[in-house]
Amino acid sequence: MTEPEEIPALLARAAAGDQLAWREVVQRWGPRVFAFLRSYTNDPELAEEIAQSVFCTVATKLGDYVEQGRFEAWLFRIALNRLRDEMRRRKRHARPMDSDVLADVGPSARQEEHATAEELSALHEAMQQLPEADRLVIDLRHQGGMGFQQMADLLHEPLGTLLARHHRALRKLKGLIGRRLGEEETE
Amino acid sequence: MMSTPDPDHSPRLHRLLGAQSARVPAGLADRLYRASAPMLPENQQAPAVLARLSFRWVAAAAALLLASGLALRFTAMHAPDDSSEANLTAVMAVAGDGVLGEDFSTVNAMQGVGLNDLDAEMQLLLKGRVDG
Repeated sequence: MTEPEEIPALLARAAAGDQLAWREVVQRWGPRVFAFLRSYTNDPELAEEIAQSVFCTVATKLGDYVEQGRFEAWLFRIALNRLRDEMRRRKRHARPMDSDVLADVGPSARQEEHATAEELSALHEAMQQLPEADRLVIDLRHQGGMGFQQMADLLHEPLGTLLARHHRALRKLKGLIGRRLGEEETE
Repeated sequence: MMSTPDPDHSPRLHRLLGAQSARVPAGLADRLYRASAPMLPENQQAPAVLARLSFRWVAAAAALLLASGLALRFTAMHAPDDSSEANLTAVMAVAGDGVLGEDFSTVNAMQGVGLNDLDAEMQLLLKGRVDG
């Protein structure tokens, strides 16, 4: 995998039509964009559909993109816009997680061995109860894997504001999950 | 994924968030790649090049058709017309027998309809013969 300092060169190669470079871009960010979208929609098929649209848009506009270390912010802004457009268009609300969601997973799902379907369902329900802004910060950070600076660029908000919001959102989430599962944390 | 453990927060929560982000469908990256690779700027030029080539091919084909048409027309204009030649010979033979006079109805009857041009041509020939 490309080192962070090599990303501008990777993007330049992809923009010049280098298929291998573009494949690496997709492998690097595809799962993160998907995870962000899936967490928001709770619908893996819809998330993948939107992710495809996102990467098609990025591929189309990559030639015009000027790398200033904000690729992730640009990428996730496109993803967020697509997501909002799609949710508006479909008027689709998140649906309860079903067993199929857990069945169609790749090798990286090994981590899931440590999380039961009930726990994941509790997480999803708790996320639904968070205010939109809190949920967005959690999803971008923990599903999209974005850094706080990138998130600040994306959301046009001060870094400190985002850090504080993230902190508060995690606390709320922790309380909601604890109540839902009826268990005390063993730190 | 990518979350930094925070002592102020729950290990279970981080574990769940990490587990959720790890649930990636098999072959996702390949599908995303296949869908998006044709949209890369370099690949977008291919249809444009193809379009230019197509235009050239169309232009070449049109020029070829035009040239062919002109050649056919030139050939048709300069090639001996056997049927007209035969008609003219027959008419001349009749005229030479002196049975025709100025009335070409016989010619028309002999040659059938649609001989107005030939009729006019004969008029000129006979006129020249009379004048001569």
